[in-house]
Amino acid sequence: MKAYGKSFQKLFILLWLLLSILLCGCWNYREIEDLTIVAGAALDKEGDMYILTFEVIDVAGGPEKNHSSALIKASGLTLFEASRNAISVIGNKLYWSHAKMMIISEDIAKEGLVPVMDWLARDAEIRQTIKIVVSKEKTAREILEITHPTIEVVSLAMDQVFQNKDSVTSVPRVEEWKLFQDLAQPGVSTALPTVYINEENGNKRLFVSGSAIFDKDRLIGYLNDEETKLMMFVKNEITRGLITEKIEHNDIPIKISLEILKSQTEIKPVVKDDEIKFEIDMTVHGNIGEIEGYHFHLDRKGANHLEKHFEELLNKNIAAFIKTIQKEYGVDIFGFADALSARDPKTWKKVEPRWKEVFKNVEVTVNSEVHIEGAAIQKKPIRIRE
Amino acid sequence: MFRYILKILRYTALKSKNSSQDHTSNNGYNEPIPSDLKKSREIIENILHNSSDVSVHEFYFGNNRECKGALLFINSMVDKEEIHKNILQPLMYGTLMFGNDKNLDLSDIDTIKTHYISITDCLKITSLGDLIDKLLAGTVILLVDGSKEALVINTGKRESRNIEEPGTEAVVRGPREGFNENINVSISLIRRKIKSPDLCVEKLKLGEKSKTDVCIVYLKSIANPELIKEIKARLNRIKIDAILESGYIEQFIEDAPYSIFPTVSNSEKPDKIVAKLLDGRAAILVDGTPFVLVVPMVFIETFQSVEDYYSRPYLASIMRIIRFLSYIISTLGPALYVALTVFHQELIPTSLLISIAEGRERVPFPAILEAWLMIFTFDILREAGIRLPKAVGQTIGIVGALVLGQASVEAGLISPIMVIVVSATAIASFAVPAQTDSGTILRYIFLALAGIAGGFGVIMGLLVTLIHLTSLRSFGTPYLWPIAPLNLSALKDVFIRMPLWNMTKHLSAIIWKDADYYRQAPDLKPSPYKNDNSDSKQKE
Amino acid sequence: MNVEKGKICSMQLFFLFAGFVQGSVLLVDFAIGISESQTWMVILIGLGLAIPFVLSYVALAKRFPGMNVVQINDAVYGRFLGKTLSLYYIFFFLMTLSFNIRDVGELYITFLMPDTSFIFLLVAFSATCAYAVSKGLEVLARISHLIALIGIFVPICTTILLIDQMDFSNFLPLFELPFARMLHGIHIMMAIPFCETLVFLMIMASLDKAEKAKKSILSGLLVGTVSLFIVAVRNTAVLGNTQTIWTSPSFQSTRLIDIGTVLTRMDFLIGIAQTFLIFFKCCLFLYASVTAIAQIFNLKTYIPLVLPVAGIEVILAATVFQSKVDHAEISQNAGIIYSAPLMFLIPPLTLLIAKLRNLPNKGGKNDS
Repeated sequence: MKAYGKSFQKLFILLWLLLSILLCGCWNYREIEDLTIVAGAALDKEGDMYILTFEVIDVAGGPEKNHSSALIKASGLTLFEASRNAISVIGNKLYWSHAKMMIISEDIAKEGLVPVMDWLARDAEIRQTIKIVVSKEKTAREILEITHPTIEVVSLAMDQVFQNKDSVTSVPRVEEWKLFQDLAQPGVSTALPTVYINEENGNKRLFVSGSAIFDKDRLIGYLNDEETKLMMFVKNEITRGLITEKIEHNDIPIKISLEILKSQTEIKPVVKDDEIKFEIDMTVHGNIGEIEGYHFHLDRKGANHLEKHFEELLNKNIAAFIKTIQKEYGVDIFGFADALSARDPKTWKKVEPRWKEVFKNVEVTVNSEVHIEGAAIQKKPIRIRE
Repeated sequence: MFRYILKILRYTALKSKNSSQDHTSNNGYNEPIPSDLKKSREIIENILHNSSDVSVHEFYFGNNRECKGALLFINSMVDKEEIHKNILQPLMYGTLMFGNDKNLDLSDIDTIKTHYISITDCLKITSLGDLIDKLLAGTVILLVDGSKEALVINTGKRESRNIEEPGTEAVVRGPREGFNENINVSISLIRRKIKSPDLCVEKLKLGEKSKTDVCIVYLKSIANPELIKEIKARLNRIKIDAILESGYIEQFIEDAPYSIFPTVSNSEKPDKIVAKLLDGRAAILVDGTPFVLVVPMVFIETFQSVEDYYSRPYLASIMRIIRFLSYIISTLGPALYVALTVFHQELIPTSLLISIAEGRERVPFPAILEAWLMIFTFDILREAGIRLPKAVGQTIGIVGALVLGQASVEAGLISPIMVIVVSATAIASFAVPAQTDSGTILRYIFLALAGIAGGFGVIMGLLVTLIHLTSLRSFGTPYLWPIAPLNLSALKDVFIRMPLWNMTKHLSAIIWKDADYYRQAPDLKPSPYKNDNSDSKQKE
Repeated sequence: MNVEKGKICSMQLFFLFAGFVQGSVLLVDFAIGISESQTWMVILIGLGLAIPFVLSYVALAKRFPGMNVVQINDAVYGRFLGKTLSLYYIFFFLMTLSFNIRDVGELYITFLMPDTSFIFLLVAFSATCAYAVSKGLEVLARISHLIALIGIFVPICTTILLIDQMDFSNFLPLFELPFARMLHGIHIMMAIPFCETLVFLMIMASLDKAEKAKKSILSGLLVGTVSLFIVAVRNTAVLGNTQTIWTSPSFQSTRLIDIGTVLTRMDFLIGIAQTFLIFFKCCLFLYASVTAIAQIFNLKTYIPLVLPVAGIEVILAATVFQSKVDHAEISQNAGIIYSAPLMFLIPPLTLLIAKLRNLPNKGGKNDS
C-alpha cells in the first residue's frame, strides 16, 4: 500500500507537470497592455445595420501621459457581430469588463430596447452595472465625440456624474440589471436618464440630465429635470438632492433650498369594491441648505412654516405630475402596478389585462411629510447693520 | 519493487559488515589494556598512526620513583596547566615528598584516583577501545605500568565561543543569550532555566567517525513517553559516518522527507527551547552546533515568536496576524498579480487597470516571464547578500534597489507595479523566517500555476497545499493542529495571543494525555488592589 | 472488514455534513428557475420534508455501526440482491459526482475563464480531488470546518455588502406560485442538497461514536440550510423578478456589489467559495464511490481505484451533457427522478427489513 501511495503521488505530480508544460500559456492568457479597454459605447442604427461606436482607452503613451480615448466605429447585423467587426479596425478583441456607459440613440429607443439588450445581458464580460442612457441628439455617436473639460474619456466623465448623483436629484441611475428588473415587472414602464449636448460659448458641453420614459421598452417621451425629480420621489429613488422653492415671507419673495437627507416613499393601493386608489406616503428629512437674504428667521416656528410649505408644494407638484403622465402618456412609470401586485395579487390578476386603461383614470393622493432637521453650519442669518 | 529488494539486500550486506564492530565496541578495539606500559603505548600509537598531536608523557613516581606512569592526551584539547597542577604535581611530588603509606599500592589505579588526583572528573576504564574513544574526546589518560586499567581524567578545557546573542533570532525584549557549539554549555543554559528534577537529559553518541554527542532533553512529567521512545528509535536508526550539524539529524528523523514543509523545528535560543519543553516537546541537542532541534513541530509554531509572550497581548496579537498575512503575501503575491493582470482583468478597478496597462505598455516580456525574472533576481540578491561580508552586502542592496529596480523600470524592461509587487513579496518573506524555504518554493509553484490557469490554478494549488498540510504529521502530531483538526481552546494562541493568565490549559495535542500538568493556577487574572478603606483613607 | 481505517469524531461529522450541504449552493440556482421568489420557502419546506429521510440514513448507520452501505446491503438483502443495490448506489455516486465536476467546469467557462479548455479544467479539478481522497477520509474531515466556515462566511459577507441593493418587496406576493411548480421546486431541494447526503452512509461507518451521529447530522443539516437560505434570500431580494433569466443568480447578484467604487466585483469571492465547496462535495462523492467499489470487490485498500475512477469521472463529466442548457434541463427534470428511489425508498426500506429480521444482532460477527 505504501509503495502504491508513493507511486500515486508521483503520478499526480507528473500529471500536473504534464498539464503545465503542454498547456502553458494558452487560452485566457491576455496581456493587460494588449487589451482594448472599452470605456463606453454608443449605439446607432442605419437601416438594418447596427452601428456601434466604441470609446476605447488609449494606454499607448505610457505612464507619463494622461490617458486619452479613441473612437472606433464598427457595424454589423447584430451587436455581437458589430463588436467582433471592430477587431478588423483595431486589431484586438474589445475588452468590455470595464465599460461604464451604453448610449442608445433615440431611434433605437423608439423601436424598442429589448432587442438590443439581449447581448448586453448575455455576454459574460459585460458587467450588469453598465449604465444605460438615451441620447437626445440625432445620433448617439455625437455624444462621444465632444470633449470634456477635465476628463478626456467621455464615458468616464459621464460615469462621474452618476457617481455623484447623490447630490443631484434629477438623474435616475439606471444600470442594466435595474432596467431588466423594471422590464420584467408586469405593468411597469421604465425611465432612463438622458444625455444631450449644449452649446456654450461655442464649446460643446455634455449634459446628463432629465429622463426618457418608456412604454414597456419603447421610448414615448422625455421628462425635464423637475419632472424627473418628482418621478424619483414617487419611485422612492431619491437618496440625496435638493428642493428649491420660492416662498413669500412677509410679502418678500425668498428662495430656499432644502437639502434632502433621507426620503422614504411608499405606494399603498387602496381597493374598495373594484375601485382602485393609490396613496403615496412620503417622508422627507432635510437640512436647510440656503436661505436667500436675511429676512427669514429660522426658528422652530419658521421651520414648521417651511415644513408645511414644502409639504404642500410636494403634494401639489407630484399630484399634478402624475396627472400629466396619466393624461399625456398613460404609462405606469411609477410602479403602481408593482405595488398593487405585491400587496393585492387578487385584484391585480383581475385588472392586469386592462391595466393601461385603469392606470389612466386611477385616483392618486399624495401625503408628504417634511422634517427639517438642521440648517447646516449657520445658526442665524447674516445681519446687515443699518 | 525490484529496486526495493535491492535496497534491502544492500542494507543487510552493509549491516553484516558493520555488525562485528557494532556490538563489540565503538571502534573495534575490544582488547583489554595490557599491563605492560611499553606495550600498551606501542599499541595506542599504532592505532592512532603516530599522529603528531598525540602526546605521551612518561614519568616516574612513588617513594623511590619505582612506579612508571604515562599520560596520554591530545595536545590541543587539554588544559596543560591543570595537568601539571592536579595530576603530575600530586603524583610525582606528593608520592615522593610525603612518603608513601605502606598500605597503598601505587600501581592500583583506584588508589591513585582516590588519593592523589585532585580532579573530580575521573573514570576508570579497562578496555582499549574506551581508552581510544576518551583520548580522542579530549581527556587525559593515565596509564600505570603493571595495571590493566587506565584512568580517564577530564581536564575540562575546551575551546568554545562565549555565550552570545544569536544572529538568527534577534529580539527586542527577552534574554539575549544563545546556545553555542559546546553541548555542555547548551545543556547548562537549559538547566539554568528549569531547576527541576523533571528535566531529563539522555545522551547518546551518533556517527561512526565523528562520535558526536547528541542529547535528548525533555520534561519527564509532561513529555509523552511514546514520543521519547519514538525519538530514540528514530535516532538509533541513524548509521552514518559523521554528524556535522543538527541538520543531518533532522533529515534522518523527519516525518515527511518529500514535503517542502519542515516537520522538525530548530532554534538557538534557550528561552524558546525551554518554552517548547514546557509544552511537552522534546529537544535534541547536537554537539558542535548551536541549533537545537525540537519535535514535534506544528505549522503555526513558525508564526509564534518568543517575544509574543514577553510583550503585552495586544501588539503581540497584531504581530501574529501580520506574520500570517506576510506569509500569504510572500507565497501568493506574484501569483495573484499575474493571475489578475493576465487572466482576470475584470477584477481590477478601472483606474488601476489603466495605470497597470500604461506601466506595461513598453515592457517587452509577457507578465509571467517578467514575474519569473523579478523573483529570480530577488532570490539571487538575497543569496548573494547573505554570503557576502557585511560591508559588501550593503552594496548589493544598493545595486539591487537602484540597478534592478529603478533602472530596469526606466529602461522599460520591467513595469513599475511589478517592482512594487516583488519588493512587497520580498519584505513579507522576511517576516516569517522559519518558513522561508517553503515560502520560496511555494512562490515559484503558485506563480507557475497562475501562469497556466490563472485564478483556477491558484485555487487548485491552495487546495492541494491545504490537503498536503493537513495530511502531514510530525511525530504523531497533526501538522496543522490546532486549525485542522480543530481545537478551540488551543486557538487562543494561534491567530491572536490571549493574555498569559488566560491560557491555563496545556497544548493538548502534544502533551501526554495522562500528564496532570497545568501551566498555572486557574485564577490568576490580575485585578486592582482591593481595599475597602482606601477611599476613606484618601479623603482623610 | 471495512476499507477505511481512519476514524472521525462527531464534531468532524457535523462540519462534513454542513460543508456537504453548502456544496449545493450553486445548485440552488436550478431551483430558482422554477420556484422564483418563493425559493426560500421551498428550501424550508424541502428541509422539513427531507429530515425524516436523513434521519433514516442515520438510523441505518446506527443500527449497523462500523458498516458502510455496501456491507449493510449485503447483510440485509443477501449477496446477490445486496450487490445489485450497491451497484445502484455506486451508479448514483458516480453520476452525481460527474454532474458536480461538470458544474465547476461550467462555472469557470461561463464566468471566469471563457477561453479555457473545458477538459483541462475538469482534469485539473479531478486530479486535485483525487489527491485529497488518496490522503484519506481523516484529512477531509480535518479540513471540513474550514470549508463549512467558508460556506457560511461568504454568503453572509456578500449579503451584508448587498443590503443596500435589497428590496424586500421582491418577496411579495407570497403563495403565488402554482402548486405543481412548488412541488417540483421542493423535490429538487429535497433531492439535491439534502438527500444527496446519502453518501454519508459510506462515511458514517468511520464514526468513532455512532450514538452521537444524529445530533451532529441534524445540526450540520441546519447550518447548511442556513447558508442556502441566505443565498436564496439574497438573490431574490437583490434581483427580484430578473433572477430567473440568469444562468447563475448568485454570481449575478454579487456582481452588483458596488461600495464606493472600490469594493466591487465581489463575484470572485463567490467563485472561490464555490470552488472550495464543490471541491469538498466532489471529494466526498469520489471517496464514497471508490470505497464502495473497493468494498464490493473486497479490496484491502481503495487507493489504487482513486485515479482510474477520477479519470472515468472526467470523461463522464465531459460527455454526459451536450451543453449547459442540457445540463440545467436534465438536472432540473430527469436527474432527480433516477435518484428518487435511492433517496426516498431504499434506505427506509432497508431499515424496515433490518428491523423485521432483527438483523445486526444475528450477524453480530462483525468487528465491534
